[in-house]
Amino acid sequence: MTKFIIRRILISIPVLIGISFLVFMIMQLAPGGPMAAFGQNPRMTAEQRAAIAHNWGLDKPVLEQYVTWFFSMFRGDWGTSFVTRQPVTQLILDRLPATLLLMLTAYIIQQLIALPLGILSALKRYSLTDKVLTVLTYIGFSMPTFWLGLILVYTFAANLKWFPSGQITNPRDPAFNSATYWPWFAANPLTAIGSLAAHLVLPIITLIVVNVAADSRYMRSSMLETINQDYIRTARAKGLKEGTIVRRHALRPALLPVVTNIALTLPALLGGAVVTESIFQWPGMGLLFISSITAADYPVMIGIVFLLSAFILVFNIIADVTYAIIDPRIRY
Amino acid sequence: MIDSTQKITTPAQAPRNNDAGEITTQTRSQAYEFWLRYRRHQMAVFGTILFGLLILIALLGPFIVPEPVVNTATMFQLKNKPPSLEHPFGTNVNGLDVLGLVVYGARISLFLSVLAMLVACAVGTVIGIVSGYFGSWVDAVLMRIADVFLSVPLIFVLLLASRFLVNPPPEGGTGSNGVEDSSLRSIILLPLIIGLLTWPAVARLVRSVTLSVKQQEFVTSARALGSKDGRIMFLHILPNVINPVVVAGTLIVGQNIVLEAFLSYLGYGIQIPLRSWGTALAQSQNEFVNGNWWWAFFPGFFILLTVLAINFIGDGLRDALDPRNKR
Amino acid sequence: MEPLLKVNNLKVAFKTDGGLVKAVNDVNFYLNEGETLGIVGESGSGKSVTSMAIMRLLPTPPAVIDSQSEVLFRGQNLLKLKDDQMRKIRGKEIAMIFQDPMTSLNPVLTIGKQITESLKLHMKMDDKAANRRAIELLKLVGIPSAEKRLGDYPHQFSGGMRQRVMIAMAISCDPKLLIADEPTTALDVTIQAQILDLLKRLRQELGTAIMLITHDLGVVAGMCDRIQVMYAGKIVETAKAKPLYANPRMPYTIGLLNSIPRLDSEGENRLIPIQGLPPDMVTLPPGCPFEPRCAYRQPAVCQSKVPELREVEEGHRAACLFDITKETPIPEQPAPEVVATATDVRTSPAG
Repeated sequence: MTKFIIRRILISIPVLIGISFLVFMIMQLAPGGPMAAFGQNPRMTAEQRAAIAHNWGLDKPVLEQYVTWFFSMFRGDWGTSFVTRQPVTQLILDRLPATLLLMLTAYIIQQLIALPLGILSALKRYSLTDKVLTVLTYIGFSMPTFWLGLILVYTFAANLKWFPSGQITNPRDPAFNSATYWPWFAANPLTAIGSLAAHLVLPIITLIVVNVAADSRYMRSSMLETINQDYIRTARAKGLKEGTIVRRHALRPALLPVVTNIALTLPALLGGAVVTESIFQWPGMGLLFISSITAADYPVMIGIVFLLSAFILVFNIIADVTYAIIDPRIRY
Repeated sequence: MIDSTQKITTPAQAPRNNDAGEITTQTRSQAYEFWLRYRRHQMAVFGTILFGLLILIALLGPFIVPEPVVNTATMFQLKNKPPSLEHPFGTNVNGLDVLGLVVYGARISLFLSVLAMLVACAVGTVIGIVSGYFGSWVDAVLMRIADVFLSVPLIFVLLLASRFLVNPPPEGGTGSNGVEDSSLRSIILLPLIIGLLTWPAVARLVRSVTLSVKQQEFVTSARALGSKDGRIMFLHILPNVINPVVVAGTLIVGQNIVLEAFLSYLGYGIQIPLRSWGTALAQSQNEFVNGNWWWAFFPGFFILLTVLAINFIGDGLRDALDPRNKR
Repeated sequence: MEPLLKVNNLKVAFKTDGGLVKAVNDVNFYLNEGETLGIVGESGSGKSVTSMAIMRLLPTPPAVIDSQSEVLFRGQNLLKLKDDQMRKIRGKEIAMIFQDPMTSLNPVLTIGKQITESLKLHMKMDDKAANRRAIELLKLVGIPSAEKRLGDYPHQFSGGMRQRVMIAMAISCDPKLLIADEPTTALDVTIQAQILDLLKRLRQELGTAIMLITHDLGVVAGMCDRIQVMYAGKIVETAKAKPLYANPRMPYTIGLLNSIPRLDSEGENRLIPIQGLPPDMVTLPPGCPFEPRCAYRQPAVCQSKVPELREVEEGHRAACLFDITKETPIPEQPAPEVVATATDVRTSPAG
């Protein structure tokens, strides 16, 4: 098993290098090269630009630049933001809690809704419930996430005023990323949690609709495939009750591919972060990314893409390993 | 469409011969069989009709609805008008007819999404076939490259790429890109970028089909007879790959429409004066306080309808082209 | 004595996109206690569907069982039972072994769990007793070091061993009737013989009636008391094993026997394949379904009248309008146009 995990990690390393190369090449391909990116910062003088070019080794050959850049990333030296002059790692770390809070809550709620719906739909195949769920999943799956966010904001925030239209805290309360937030949280836990919950509702709905549709569909087809297997017929021939057959014989094989899928949808949720956070002004990594894009804050952008890619790779490994653990047929 | 699955005879297909050699059950052509299966898929038929209507709107709409151009003279009078007979979808903050935005946006949105899909399918099919056919180190290298593209957060890298390639900041703070220039660049580069970032899904699919076709006897015998690799890939493997690629391609178009819309909504996609459904939605959020919901609602609703229609069609195609999936 | 199982007018059809597939058309037969009945036919002849209909394991829809049909098991019509009554019969009174042991066992449950679950359900055994019984059963079906293997998963067994596990599962509750649906088809030839020997031994030791379904006349030869041949959803010949082999009376059976290679045959008896394909089960011909492929056919008569099963000798019934035997000379006539020797063309969804 350890061997399997190590092998799995080893084949991810070239992929990570490939990702860094891809990101680096996008910068190189830009008209004017990577230096063009710094041009828009009006606070920067020509000398400063030259200094940066020299510091980053931008006056050297492309391949050498890449190697230098890669090793500095690898050492954890992700540079400093052109806008705030803070270290990129610090900036990202500041924004991480808000993103993780949103993602993890959404992630759990998503599975709690999607899996039971998928199983129900499969077991009641061709029933009215199944048909209604099928149509709903199609609509959910086709939903342009950011538009759904806009509609929710208009309806439930701007119009009905049930929920706040954005941000993570009320304007009067301390900001989420500030030093005063946690002391305030400790002093007024109920108010703070209530406020967080209220701010979470609309972003979470926006974030999970597409994934709930996709995951429940996946669960449904996996369940359907399982209950058509020969061994389910064997179980029926034994005289077991349908409920027992589903619980004891069908559920685990049907969940096997779903578990992999569950691990793989977390990165997909991260992609949704940029959409949801931009609509709801949620102060996480996605919003940081959007503002760094606007300001051409090159080190921050690269840092975020790199971190998320590493995240996705790790989750791919986790998906493979869990699959290997729960399926007795796979030997490592 | 010489798929291996066609060998499975359904009761309706199995020809019955009596002594006169007369075939009582007509052996139907494959295209007809496909049509019969497709037609039975209610949602696919609904999707096809819906999509046909949307195409009609994209093609004919611009001849009926005037092009939305900001008119400083009437801008304030027409600002944020709710839906009425004159403006069925209302107007936006610049006094533009939202119906006009939807109609003109349809062309660009559909064109761009289809083009990006074609890029992805072309690249993905070639790489998938080569990877699956040659195997060994060729396969290993190509699939690791595919992994790279599958492991980057798509929307982030898209934003990054379109920010730097489509809409690059003026160099050294001096000299600026003309408006026309950036809108032209956006319509050419954006589909390329989207296509070049989304091909790996197609490549993986094609590779797996290639691997299974490669094992079949007609490929082995073609190779035994001395056919060249290129010929085998083109004549024997490509036809088997087409059906799954058509299905995947359809679904990719839907995905592209949403991607493009989001990029353009943020201002990093299609550049005005070209208009897509995404540009139509940009800034619409700011007018919620003025009670303007129609500006945000209608373009997005058309995106939803289109993607829904495409997903219905994709599912219908899958069922009709791949009878193995049916029970 | 009343037979253990009596099937009356069994008709099963499947709703498909291509129309109603009439898989089983008015089948009547019986099976006495302790008897072994062989049901032989090509894929699509309705033999598997018949067995699944007896167990009520056909999904409805798409399957439709005619309301006049009766499956009397010890005088009780199984087709009219409530679901929970039927469940008490499945696995306890009637057990079943399926064709493919590779897919018929649950891959994520240990075989111990899979064997003991019937025991706990039907025999109300506790864990300990069920485990003890499971070990006994595994020993009975010839699995070495049975104690150690209870915790193993199906993929750790070979195909033949898995089929032994399936048999152990099936006989666990001492069923009165064991339905074996192509139990050896998916196995190697040497393993086939072992499994058949095992079934023979169990029949002697336990006295279970067996319904053995196969497409291979060779398999049923040494094993069955009676054999019935099915074609296009009908029984076309039935007799005790010996007379059926010695003196087949239906051209289809003659054809089947002629297509089995034999070493002991004297002279230069060639293999004679049956020409053509089985009929389309959606639009059955008005006459004899075997007529298009029959070497002895007389089109004018055979195409207009469906031959019913009739007594040709005592205890030997065949569905042919003529008195054909192996000695009847094959008349000269143009060969059927399709030369495919289709013995395994699937025509019905359930195979």
